[in-house]
Parts: sequence; C-alpha cells; structure tokens
Amino acid sequence: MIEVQIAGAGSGKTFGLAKTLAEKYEQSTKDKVIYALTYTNAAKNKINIELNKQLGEIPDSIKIETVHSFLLNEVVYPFSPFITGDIYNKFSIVPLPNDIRLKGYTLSRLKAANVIHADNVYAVSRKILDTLHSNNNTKAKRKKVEKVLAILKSSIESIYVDEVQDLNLDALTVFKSLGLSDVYLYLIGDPKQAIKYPKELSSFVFNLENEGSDKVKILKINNNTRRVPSEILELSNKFCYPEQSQVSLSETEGSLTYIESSDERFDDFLTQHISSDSIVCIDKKNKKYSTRSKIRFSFHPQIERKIAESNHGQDNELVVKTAYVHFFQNVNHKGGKFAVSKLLSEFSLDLDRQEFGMLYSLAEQLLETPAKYVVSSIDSIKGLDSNDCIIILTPNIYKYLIQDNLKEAEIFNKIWKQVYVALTRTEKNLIIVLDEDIFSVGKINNIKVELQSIGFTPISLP
Amino acid sequence: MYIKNVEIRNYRSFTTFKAELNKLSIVIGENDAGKSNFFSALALPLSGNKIDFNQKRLNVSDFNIDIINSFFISIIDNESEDIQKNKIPKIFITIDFSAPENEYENQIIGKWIYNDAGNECYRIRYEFKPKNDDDILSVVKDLLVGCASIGEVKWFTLPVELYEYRIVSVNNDREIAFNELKHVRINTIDAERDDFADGNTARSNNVLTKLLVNTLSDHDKNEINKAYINFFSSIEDTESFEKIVSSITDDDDFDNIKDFVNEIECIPNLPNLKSIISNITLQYGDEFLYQKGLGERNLVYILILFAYYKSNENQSFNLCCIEEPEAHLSVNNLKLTTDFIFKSVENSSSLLQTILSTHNPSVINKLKLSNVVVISGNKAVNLSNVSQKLLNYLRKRPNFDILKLLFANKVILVEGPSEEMLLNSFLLKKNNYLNNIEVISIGQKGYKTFLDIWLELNKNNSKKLIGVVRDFDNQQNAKDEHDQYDHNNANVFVRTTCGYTLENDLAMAGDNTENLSNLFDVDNNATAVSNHMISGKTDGMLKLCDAMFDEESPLVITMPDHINDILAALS
Repeated sequence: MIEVQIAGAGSGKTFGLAKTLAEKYEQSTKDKVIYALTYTNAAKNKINIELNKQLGEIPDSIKIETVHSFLLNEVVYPFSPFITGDIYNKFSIVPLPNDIRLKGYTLSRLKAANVIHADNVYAVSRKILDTLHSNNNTKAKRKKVEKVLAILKSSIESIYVDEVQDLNLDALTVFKSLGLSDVYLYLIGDPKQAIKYPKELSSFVFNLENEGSDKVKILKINNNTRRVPSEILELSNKFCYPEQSQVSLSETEGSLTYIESSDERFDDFLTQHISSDSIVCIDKKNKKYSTRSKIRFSFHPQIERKIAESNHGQDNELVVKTAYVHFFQNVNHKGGKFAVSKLLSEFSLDLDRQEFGMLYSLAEQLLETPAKYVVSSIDSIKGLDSNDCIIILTPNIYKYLIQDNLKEAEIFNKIWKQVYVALTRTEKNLIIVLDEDIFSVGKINNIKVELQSIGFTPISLP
Repeated sequence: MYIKNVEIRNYRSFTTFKAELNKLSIVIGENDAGKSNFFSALALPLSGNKIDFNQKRLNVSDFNIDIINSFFISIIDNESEDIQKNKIPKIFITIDFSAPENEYENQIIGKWIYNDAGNECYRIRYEFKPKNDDDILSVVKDLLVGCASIGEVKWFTLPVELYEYRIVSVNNDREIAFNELKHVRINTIDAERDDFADGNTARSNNVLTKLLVNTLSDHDKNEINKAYINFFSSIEDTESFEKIVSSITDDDDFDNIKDFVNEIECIPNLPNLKSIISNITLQYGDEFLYQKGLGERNLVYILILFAYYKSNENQSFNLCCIEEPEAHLSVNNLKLTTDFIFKSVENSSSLLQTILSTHNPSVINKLKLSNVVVISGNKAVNLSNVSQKLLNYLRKRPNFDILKLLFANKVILVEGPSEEMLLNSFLLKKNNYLNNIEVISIGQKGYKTFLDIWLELNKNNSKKLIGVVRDFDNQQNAKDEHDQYDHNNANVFVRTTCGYTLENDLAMAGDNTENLSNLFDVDNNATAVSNHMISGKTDGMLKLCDAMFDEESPLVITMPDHINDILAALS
C-alpha cells in the first residue's frame, strides 16, 4: 500500500507525518518495525521531537533514521551479496573527484575493499529490490528479488518517508517496490522544492497515478501554509505547479523589500541579520559571500590506510585524524603543495600518481578564501524558517525571479526550485540585497524598476 | 526452523569437523570422542544466558593443540610469511539455519541469507582470531627466537591476549548486533550437574537461580527487594536491637556519642538480586530436594529445565541441549524422561530444536535411529539416511543394542542364539587373553543392512573389525552379495558355511562327529549329528556348550573353518 502526500512549504509536513505515524502505531500489532525516514540528521531530530509530542515516548518498534542509513543497514549490507554478488560492509563519504576516470577509479578501489560510496547507495539498493531493473533479467533473478522483499516485509510494518523531493528515481523506485509488497508506505514531500533532482519526484508521482494501481493512493494536496504570509504567496505562487498554489493561514502581514549595498547602513544591517536568527542566503558562493559548508572532508581510505600502516607506534585512528587536521591547517596556511609534501615526509608515504591526484584535489577543496560575509546556500536552508529572510540577488536568481523569457526547459528546473525555496522561508519579511559588486549601477536601476512592478518596495530602516 | 549444519574448525579436539543436524538430534560417540566439546562449540555463536556472556572469550586451552604446534613449527622452520600467516591458529564455528518457514522466522534470520555455490542458506559464524595478523606473527617470532625444535616450546604459550572474538553474518562479514543475536538462543542441561540441590547448606542452585533471575519481571524484582529491606527493618524494630542501641545512648557519660550513635541504622548488606535468590532451594514433598537421591534430583532437574526452555516465553529460537539424560536414572525414570522428551519435542513450536547426547540404546531406539549423529574421530555421521529396513528392524526390537554394533572394536554378527552361544563359549574357553569380541545375534538371515550402517561409520578404519558368520542355505546369490562386502573392505570378513547350515559344518569339523554322537547319543555319522542338532535347535547347542565346560571331561570341539577364519582375522 502506498500513500503519497504532496504538501507545500510551511504546511506542517513533519507534524503531519508524526500524526499519521502515531495513529498507525496505535493500530498496529507492534511485533514489526515502523520506520520514519528523512534526509539529514537535523531532520531526524525534528521528527524525533514531533513523535515524542504525539506518543509521549518513542517505543523500540519505531525507528527514526536517515534514508541512507536505512538502505545501508536493511537492504545493501545484508542482501547485496545475495542478489548482486557484491559484498559491502562499510561506507564512505569521501568527496569523489570530478574527473570521470579518477572518479571511476576511486569507486572501484572502494568496491574492492567492500566499501560502498554514499552516492551509490540508491543505485545499488535499486538493483536489489527492483524486479524491473536491467540486472534482474531472468526469472531466477527476479525470484531472488521477491525473496528479499518477502524477508523485508516480515520485519517491517510500515515506512514513512519525509522530504521525498530529495530522493532520486532510484530511491523512489526502491520504496515503491517495498510499498507494492504490502509494506505500508507513506511518502510526503514537496516537488516544488526538489532542488537536487528537479524532475524526478513529479514524474514519479505522475507515473504512479497513470499506472492506476489500487495499491496506490495520491492524497489530496495540502496547499495550506501556516508560515508564508499571503503577500509573499502572491509571488511564490508563480512558481507552483498547477493545483499547488498555496493559501496562507497566517495572519501576519508580509513585506517584500529590497536594500542596496550602497546604503551606508548596509554593512550593519547585513552583519546583524547574519549573526541573528534570520536566514541570509545566496545561490552560490562568490568572493564576497561564502557559504557554510556542512560537509566534513577526510582523506581517501586508501591514503588513510597508508598513514595508519606507517611506523608511527600510536593508535591508528588518532594518528589519521591528527594528520588530517594538520593537513587542513597547512593547506590554509601555506597552500596545497606545502601541505602535501609535509604529509609525505612526516609519514614516509609512498603514493602512486592517482593518490597524489586525490590529495591535491582534496587540498583544493579545503582552501578557504576569506570572504566578507558568511551566509547560507539556498540548498542548505530547506526546511528552515525565520521572521526575516534575506536573499543576495544574483543574475541567475534574478532572471528566474521575474520569470524573464524563460525557455521551456528552464521552467521547473533546479534554479526555479531554488527560487521557490528562498521565497518561502520567511514568516514575515522578505528582503532582496542588490549588491554593486554583483550588478553594475545601471543594471541595479533596471532591477529596481522590475522589482517594484512585482510588488517590492525599498526598505525603510529604523 | 532449526540448525541444519555445523562446521567447527580448530576448537579443542576438532580440526575440521562438520555435522548435519535434525530438529531432534541424538549425538552418540565413545567417551572422549568430543560430545561435550560439540555442545560447547554450539554455544559460541548463539546467545546464552545473560550471565554467561563472557564465556565467548576463549582461552588458549580451547585451541586444537595440533594446530598451534603446526603454526609454531612453521615459524621455527622459517617458512614463507604467506604460509605462516595461513597457519595462524584461528577458531571458527559456522552454523547454517534451515530456510525460514514463516514471517517470524524471516525476521530472525532473513538478513543472514547467503548464496553458497547456488544453494540458499542462512549462515552465521563465530570467530576467535588475532586482531592483527602481522602483530601476532611478530610477537610469536620473538617468542620462538632461539628455538630449534618444537620440543622446546609449549603450546600454551600462544599469546591469546592478542585475540578477539566476533560473531558475524557470513554474507557480508559484518558483526551481528546483540539485539539481533538475542533471538537465537541456546540452553544446555550439561552432564556435570550432580551437585544440583546437593548438600545441606542450601547451596546456590545455579541453574534455578539463573532461571528465576531471568524470568522475574521488573515488578517482581521490586517486590522482592522491598520485602528484603523490610526484613531488615523488622530486625531493627526488635527489642533486642533497640536495647543494644539504647544502651549506648542512655549512657550519660558520653553525651557527644548519642548524636553519632542515633545515626546508626540497620540496613541489609545490599546484595544483588542474584545472591538474594540464590538462597532459595527446592522442596520435594516434605523433604528438601537435596535430601532425595541423585537419580531423583536429576529427574527433577531435567523436567523443570526442559519444560522451561520449551515454554519459550521470549519467543526466540531455542536450541536446547541435554547431555546424557539417562544419568543415574532407574529403568522407570528413564522411561519417563525419554517419553517426556519425545512428547515435548512433538508438541513444541517450530522454534525449538533439541539435541541430546547419550550412551543408552533405549534412548536411541525410542527417539529414532534416523535422528542419530555419530561422532567418531574427527567426523560426524548423520544417520538420517539409514534404510527404512533397519529402522523397522529396530522398531520391532526396541532392546537391540545398536551402540555395541557401532562402537565395538571387534564385532561378529551371527544369525541366532545358537551361533551366539557357541561362539561366546568358545571365546570364554580361550583363557590366554581377554575376550574383546562382541558377538551379536541379529535374529535374521540378511546382514546387508547392518553392514551398511557399520560401514557408514567405520569404513577404512583399521582399528575396527567386523566378522559375519553365514549359513549357505543353498543361496549362491546371497552369498555373492555378502562376499562383495568382504572384497571391498579390508576390515570386513564374511564367511559362509560349506554345508547348508552351521550344524552341518560343525558336525563334520575335526573329530566332532564322534564326540558329538557320544554327547547326543546318536549314530556316529555327520548326518545324524547335524539332524539332531537342527531339530533340537538351541537346546542341543546349550548342551554342547555346557559340555565344553564340564569339569571332569570337557568336550573338545573343533570350530568349522568359516568360524575359524573369522576368529583368526579378528585376533
């Protein structure tokens, strides 16, 4: 059984999920497990808190995990050897190089060491659970898949997945297989916010509807928003799919304003908002505005092993971590070349060409150029809200904001969705920053005119 | 659901040992064959009592000594490092579960599904091995510096502090979380249980204590604790105790002591729940259980424990092992116990598997020969494929001693009581060495079924010999078939009479004709003698045997050739 709930920004998705789950739990037999899955650890905590409110205490048979952790522990680790013959018993989040050959090389080195990369988890899970996957092209193979589905069904009562717009088609297909095998599946998300995979959730839902299975129910779309004031909805609704325009339940009066960097109080204004609860975002970092990157890097496992195997005489894990910290500091202090040579001499490392490449590309990624302001990327503010949301305008965002001559392919694409996300974070004030370092003065004047035509006014600072 | 296969490597007496089990298995074997080791090996990959968890960490005496020595020799001989690494002693115990039959079983073992060369199995493994192969190599090399031969080094110097244990799912080599493993449990009623309820000092009944501690609910535990504390409060409240305290406080000489002393209270020694409960012992009728006899105590022990383990309140898979249920039990109690076990297993849920070890043939016969696993040498032979003919034979003869057939070092099979008497008497007469030959009468003419099962266990084992004494009965085909066994096996000796039956050959051997015609008072020719014996059957033979032991003039009998051959072969 599959139920799909589309719900827009600020509609109380987490609350809704927790409520449905709690109801289902009360009715269930409690000898199987109920999973509540989401994308990040922060989101996990949100669900945890909501469920605690609903149920008082979270019983052992309800497990809250990230989608990755669920797929790794319940699907990939136990069943990959049985279905595909590949054995995985560890996973890695090491950043993959962009060069395709190097990337392929890294992935295959990882696989030989039984390590699965986080980016591969969805694809591998699909191989295991999708009878229609090209790998499962014989009757015998499909029978094996069905066997695994039967095993999973015997211990899983239901799965509730939040933020499904962040899943790609592979992951969605995996859950669909489970849902069609009589594990109750509840998917909730907002295709309007699908930044990572802009088209996949919508086409997935579209196909589900067309298949017309009686095991699938697309629930009535929730277009209410408790957060976004109606004044702002007038703008953000232009970015909604048909039938997904939102209605505001908020009684706060919203405001759309802009501020120019030439304003003498601009610096105070921005710094104050950055250090407070407000959301300050930009689509992509630049010289003046850097974005907090939440990803923690590490050495490639291959290199970690070589460090550990060097004759250091101390605890392996500790030595590797310290080496990384020093490397990081050296990169920022004296550059990549220096850091790499220091690392090599300290541990007498003998690296091949590929490994050198990995180290240098890691150094590049670690280099922080000092920027004037540290703000958030739009990708990272998903799910958050605040009284004030400040968007640093860039050419891309501007183009989409005024929906200026957009091509067919650009509608509902990644940037389109980034705009929707940025517009729907605020409970009250939406402020656009016009920065002279980004746009020329002449351009700024044009922009001001356009903005005014869609409802913006210059900000009046106290 | 049950454990189908067990493979044990390098643990105690085993080097490489594989056994197939059934839902109910009866393990038999001679003393020191490794039966107890088999049970303790099974306990390693499974969840036992909470209290015994530490026993999964093995020590050096749990290793097979030959394996340790072969490793040491490899180091002393300076073999290549790859070879040395291969020989590092590691203990592995691998178990395969049968395919799950319902959702609940899928929950317990589904994630351990493993493709073994096209066969689908559910497999986990206990491993005891060094954390790091290189480390142990270098430590042992240091240890053996200067040793020229294996005689200079002791096996128990293997540095097992560098070892750790893991219980993993074989399909991905990942450790199994405690939460998952606790659903596959083992419970053993072991052989050295005689001190259960022994002694008059109300000694801690280990098993009973564990049982109670494990089954008490939290609420019950609280109640017990409260009661225990109240017990001590009531001591405080007794007059005598108050007197002791007040004698100090009423003494006016020491005012400043009063405040100090008033703080004194009587509180219990705060033992943990286990020691509180260990002060319980069992009653049986009006007596303490420990006042009853050893056999009675054993009976109670088995009944309670098996019933408890079978009841399976926590709904996990339960492997219940009972060592030698027959110990100390009289005929009646043994019957009761075997019946109890048999019926309990029949009525049990699919989550119970039972393994017994026994030295008693009636236990085997009752619980079926097809459930038997024989441990001998480094091998285990599962008799589940034993022929239906043999099973039926045993069912018709519940007292047949199958163990003698399987384990005696020297066995002679004969057709009936006449032959049996004759051979036993003859062997008894030979007083220049101990008779170590078992003569077994099987009461029928065909020996093939018995030879088949004997060979399953003892084929190619030169220390085990079997002889078969046959009557010709004019059946050339039968003779040829039986002779095949002799031709194909160096330790099987089949001999057939030349004449029709034993009596014919016996009547003609040596001087028997004359001696026997005198004894039986019949005509002095072979035909008359043999006819007399054939018609009189065992009576005639009995008279003959008695005559062999006559004190004044013992009858001298020459054994027919076919019997002589066998006796010679077996000596």
